[in-house]
Amino acid sequence: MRKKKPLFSNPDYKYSSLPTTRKEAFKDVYHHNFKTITLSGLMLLLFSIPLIIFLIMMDYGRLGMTSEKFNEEELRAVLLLWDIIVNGGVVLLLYPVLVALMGVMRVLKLLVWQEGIDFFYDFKVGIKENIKYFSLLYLFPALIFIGTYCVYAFLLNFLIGIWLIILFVIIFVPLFIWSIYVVNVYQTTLWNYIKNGAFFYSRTLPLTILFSILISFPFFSIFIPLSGITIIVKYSLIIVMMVFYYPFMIIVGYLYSLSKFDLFINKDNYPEIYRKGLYDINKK
Amino acid sequence: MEKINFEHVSVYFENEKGNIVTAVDDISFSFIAHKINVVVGYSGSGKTTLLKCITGALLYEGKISFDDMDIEPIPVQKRRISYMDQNITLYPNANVYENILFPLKAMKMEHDEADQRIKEVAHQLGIDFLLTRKTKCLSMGQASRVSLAKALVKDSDIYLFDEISKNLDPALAKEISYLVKDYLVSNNKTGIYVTHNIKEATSIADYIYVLNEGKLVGVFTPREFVTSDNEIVKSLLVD
Repeated sequence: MRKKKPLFSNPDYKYSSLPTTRKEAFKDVYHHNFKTITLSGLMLLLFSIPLIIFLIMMDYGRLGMTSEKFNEEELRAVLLLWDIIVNGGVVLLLYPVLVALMGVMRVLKLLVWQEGIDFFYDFKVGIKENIKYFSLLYLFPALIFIGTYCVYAFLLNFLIGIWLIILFVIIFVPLFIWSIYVVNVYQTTLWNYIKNGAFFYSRTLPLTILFSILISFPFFSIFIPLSGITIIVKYSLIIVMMVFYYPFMIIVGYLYSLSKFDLFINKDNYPEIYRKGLYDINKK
Repeated sequence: MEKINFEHVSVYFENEKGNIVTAVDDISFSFIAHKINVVVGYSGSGKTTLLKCITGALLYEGKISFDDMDIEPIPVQKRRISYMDQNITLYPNANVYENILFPLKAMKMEHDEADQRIKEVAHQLGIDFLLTRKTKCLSMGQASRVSLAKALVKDSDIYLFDEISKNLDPALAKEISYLVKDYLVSNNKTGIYVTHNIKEATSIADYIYVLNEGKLVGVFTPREFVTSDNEIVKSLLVD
């Protein structure tokens, strides 16, 4: 029989084992806080349930719309209406996911800053702190999305559809992402959040676009042809991504954005949060 | 508060055979507030029993009071006391911060205040860099410090330590006892520290209380203790 290892029999944690770079911080955060990170993912999933159920229902509904039931003109009209309902629903039901994101972003910020966490308390505080600016920042791309989608819907041009997605992935998503990272770290005005978001986006263009593409991954699933099996596979993947992939991406985003904030803002203006979460290399 | 008074306090137990055993026998004395009061004595002398009377864990005869205020009617959670024994009771799957936070949550302390307290105590005990680490990954020394932080974080008036260094190696025991002393002195708190270890007692105590077979032998300053002619004290020093 294997002998059970007694608790507290490990060697001392040394100050020198603490992270001194953002890369080390990433490993450190994952190694010591996997449970908290997974819990964050589960909260995102919990708040995504209405959206996922809605999308599954709409996808199955769409499966039933075939040329056997409608003539070509009717089918086109029904599909158009269906798409408008789906996109309107997505814009509305993404908001609860955004609410979870507000809480999760505070929790993960504290992790990256090596601060103690009282998960549910900090989750609630995150929502309270971020709700105003996250909502305002979300409203802007959401309205533009609905507007441009309506244009697409009436013109029914596939190319416009593609451009709409590209526009979102390379302009609005990155701007939104940078702005919400700024909201989580600094307290300023809405205009300054957008301005700073645009500044950081312009300074980190290729990586930010790559990040936006990676984070928008589930939205590309609209190009997958619908069938009973692809629906199951698609939503199973989205559920797994909610729990594991998005918290991972948020942490990566934090570590990257904090390094940029340090470089452009913190060193001179906010020394108290300069290299926060990293330890002094001279003590290593 | 100036004193913790014991007036004619007796505690009785029923042993396995059904006989009544006197653990503390009609003792009257006072612990001094804002000092480190160390209680020494052989096993079974009643040291732990005294602490448990203050915590409300045991029934006793007589009166225990904080200055003139009898503690018996005061609910335990309102006595502003913290208790720590030799067992390291940490939740292995929670991190250090969550472990230290737990007693404060039980007290329903405001989160911001609790957060500040944890950071202060963690800093004083040199464990601030461990706050996000899981406790099951800690060394014995670090776990002892975290356990101590759990006891100190409540910002009580009286801190009771029941042989906290009993299971530790001598170097670690010394380190922990000095941490206790530093904390109590720098925060002007009252400590009642039970120990077997005479060296530890003389190095941290303001006053040493010697118990033997449920009776108080005497109260000494560390200097008086090491030079005492009392037979019990002498035998403790020899042991």
